[in-house]
Amino acid sequence: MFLSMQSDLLREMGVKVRGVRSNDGKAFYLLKIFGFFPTLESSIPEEIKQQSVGVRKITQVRELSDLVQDLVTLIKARTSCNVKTGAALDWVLTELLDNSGTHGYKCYTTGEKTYPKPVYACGFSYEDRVEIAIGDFGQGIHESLKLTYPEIEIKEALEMAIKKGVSGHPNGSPGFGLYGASELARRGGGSFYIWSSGHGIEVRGGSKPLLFSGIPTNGTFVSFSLNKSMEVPFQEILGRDTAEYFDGLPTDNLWQ
Amino acid sequence: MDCQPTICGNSVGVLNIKLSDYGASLGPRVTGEEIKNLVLQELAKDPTLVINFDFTGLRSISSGFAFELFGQLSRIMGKRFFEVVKLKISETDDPELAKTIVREAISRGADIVRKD
Repeated sequence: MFLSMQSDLLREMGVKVRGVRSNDGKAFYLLKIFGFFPTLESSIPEEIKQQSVGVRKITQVRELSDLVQDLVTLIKARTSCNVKTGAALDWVLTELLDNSGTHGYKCYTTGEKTYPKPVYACGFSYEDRVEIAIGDFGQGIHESLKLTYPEIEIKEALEMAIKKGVSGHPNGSPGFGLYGASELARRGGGSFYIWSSGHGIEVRGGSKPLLFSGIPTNGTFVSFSLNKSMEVPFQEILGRDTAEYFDGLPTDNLWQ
Repeated sequence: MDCQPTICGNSVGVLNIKLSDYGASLGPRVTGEEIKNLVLQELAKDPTLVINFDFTGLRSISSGFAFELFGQLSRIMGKRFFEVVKLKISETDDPELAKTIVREAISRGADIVRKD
């Protein structure tokens, strides 16, 4: 099943595949570029391959929850990460998968239970690191952001996408997904890559986001690498100053 | 009677919604909208309803989901939202994280109300 998923993925990427092999030049190269490399990499020990979540194809909204659960369960088992790291991974996966499902195609109409374009994801963990890759073959970040910022250029779109509060969704969505993921990686000693519309951006701690030319394919691919023992101040990353919340609103009885 | 599992067995005047019935990790915003529409339908039938959202068993929620459910409900209901909605959020893996996401979503809904 895993191999057939890989084949589907490659065919959708326009790569001709007779059989997926670890030395399959262009196919392997492309998968690796996008982070979808775990069980193809011949140098990875068998025990780790067995504990990786191979590329999964998601077409139903409901399947996302199962995928997140499988990935986080694997990662927790493999890395013994603490509860807060597990919760952080859970959150970032729900954000990125929702992004792929929502922005992967022009599916801003709501109420749909099936994604117009499938979403792919896989997870991999070793030593003290966790790696996740998520991709779709939809409209890409540039087209998505043009809805909100009509004049935006491709490279500018990638830089904007990792800023807080930037969203291509027309209803005023928070715009936390790519920002939150990039901040998690940056502050947690990891890395975060986005490839979209033929360009890419890399985020790492201690340096400015780096733009580069990517693979000319449609869709958006993200991959991130996290440290298993990270402690990330979510309030600092995602929240506004407490004083700004609910100014003048009666919130005393909201929380139980 | 044909009724949805999440709203069966409620006390009179109370709508209990256990979010984990919709998935352990709630990312898709369409699911948030689905639950929001359910709440609005029930409120249309009985405007005096108290609505309890139970986060027990929930592993995570995305900001998009939270915005479609809590942000949009607070936008539509205005101050009434804070009078009738209760959030039981203490039993999640990381209550502070969940609270941050929900609080931000609700405050964005409130922002929209202020701008309008």
